[in-house]
Amino acid sequence: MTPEEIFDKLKEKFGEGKILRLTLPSQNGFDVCDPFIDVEPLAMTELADFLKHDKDLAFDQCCCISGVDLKDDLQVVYHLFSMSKLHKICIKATAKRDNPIVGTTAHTWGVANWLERETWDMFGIKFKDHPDHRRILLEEDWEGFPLRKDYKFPRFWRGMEVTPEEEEGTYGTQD
Amino acid sequence: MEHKIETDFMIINMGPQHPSTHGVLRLELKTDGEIVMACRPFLGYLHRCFEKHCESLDYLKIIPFTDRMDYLASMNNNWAFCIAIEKLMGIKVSEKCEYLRVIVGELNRIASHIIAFGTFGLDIGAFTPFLLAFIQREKIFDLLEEASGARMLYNYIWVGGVARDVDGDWLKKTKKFCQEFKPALDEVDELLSLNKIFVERTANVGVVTKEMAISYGFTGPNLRGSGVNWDLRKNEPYSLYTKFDFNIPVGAGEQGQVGDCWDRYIIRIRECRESIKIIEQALEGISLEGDIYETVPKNFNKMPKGEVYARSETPRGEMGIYVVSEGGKAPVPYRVKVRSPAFCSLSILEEICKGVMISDVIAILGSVDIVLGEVDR
Repeated sequence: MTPEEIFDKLKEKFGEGKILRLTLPSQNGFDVCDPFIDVEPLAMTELADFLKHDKDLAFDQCCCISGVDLKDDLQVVYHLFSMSKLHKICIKATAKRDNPIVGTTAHTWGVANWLERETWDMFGIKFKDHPDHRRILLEEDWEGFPLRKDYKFPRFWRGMEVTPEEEEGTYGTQD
Repeated sequence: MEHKIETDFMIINMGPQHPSTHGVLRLELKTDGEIVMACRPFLGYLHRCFEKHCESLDYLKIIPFTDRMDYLASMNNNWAFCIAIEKLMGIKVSEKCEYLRVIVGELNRIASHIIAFGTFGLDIGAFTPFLLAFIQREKIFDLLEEASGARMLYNYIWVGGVARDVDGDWLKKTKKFCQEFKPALDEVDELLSLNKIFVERTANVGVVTKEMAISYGFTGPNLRGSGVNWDLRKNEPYSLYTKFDFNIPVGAGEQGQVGDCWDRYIIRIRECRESIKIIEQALEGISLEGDIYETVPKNFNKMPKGEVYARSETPRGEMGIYVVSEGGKAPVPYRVKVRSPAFCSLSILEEICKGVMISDVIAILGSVDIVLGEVDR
């Protein structure tokens, strides 16, 4: 199916309130991009279920889940692929920065469990009804979410020096 | 007097410093005697903030960092990243460079598979095949060192080209290696594949069904071991892979069920043979004329605004690179995300390690072939 057909099908099923818009390459200020659909973040759970189990869509493979810091908002990007129908689509769920919550897809794709945990770990995006909502790469008592653009590197962690004094404030900036 | 004897579950930490975890991975096993009731992996011991570093580095400076993700297949990592940036910038790479990339990429794939089945044998208790295979791995490293200047971390594939040219002598040496490698692989194959002890330990152990494999993000040899005929080199061809004639080995449950550890193991042995086929065809096709820097961009000042997701087949499966670029004069990417195949494959561990023996956990972990550098990034 082409991205337009996928978009129309989702819109017919879920309505305009949940499926927001479709962006094709060279639209909305993008020079290069894969076609993507913006959706309502809390609708992600039922949407994922439909995307996988509908027989025309059949998105059985969840390639990648990435977080992106858009400065005003936080975004979760899903790259999906169908091994039987050989089509792909990118879904974007944008959540508010002060309280980012996105519906989980871990019950639909097994791999989404860890990929969502990584997104929580790095961006602090909460996944509603996630079965195992813990950090994955960092320690459970780590403060802050490192991949956010406004992250400050800590001087100490559990009494250990993790940022040398002379380098404080210089990490994460172009030299 | 009546005594009631109760047994209790025992929590055992396997790792992080345990040779069969292939790096620093900790598994928390809840055991009832020899049976594992639950297995919880803990990662992050090798986390080096790759994605955070990318946000403050030029595009070219990121390539040496990709070497250090999957340090057993650095060429394929360089390549995966370059494919993404070339897609973003719309660069078409010259044919000579593509041939060179295919040759070094497949050589590195063999070197990586040697580690995979060598250490898998080692985990099970077979020491000799590991040593025999390492002789061949050393030869591959000599070839790659001559081409790139480094043994393991190459920084060889650049955006739009490769770092150094090769000469006719190198091609001859590579050809000679291909001929020598085939009997050496047969030797390992004979020693290990149908060894009764090895088959008993791996057949019918850690069975992953087709549906489970796709759902849990298995890719590459692991996915094919579960009986799915899927290889990005064939199904979504990039570079020059349409030009070559090669087969995709798929697990068929020859010793037990489809998708068991033995299937995942034998796929890697057979893939080495296919890689040799590809290298031999590429050596026939390559022409040494032409400039390798022809399509290398002079600078990265005019990046388009946008985002790409590019995936390619590394020895561990499908590596996806998601790059967001702000465009304009920004010399650094806004966001880089790596979809690491080993990270995704490892996520199945919790699911398939329920109710197996402790020794089987080691067999399962070895057969999935993880590299912790890539899992933690």
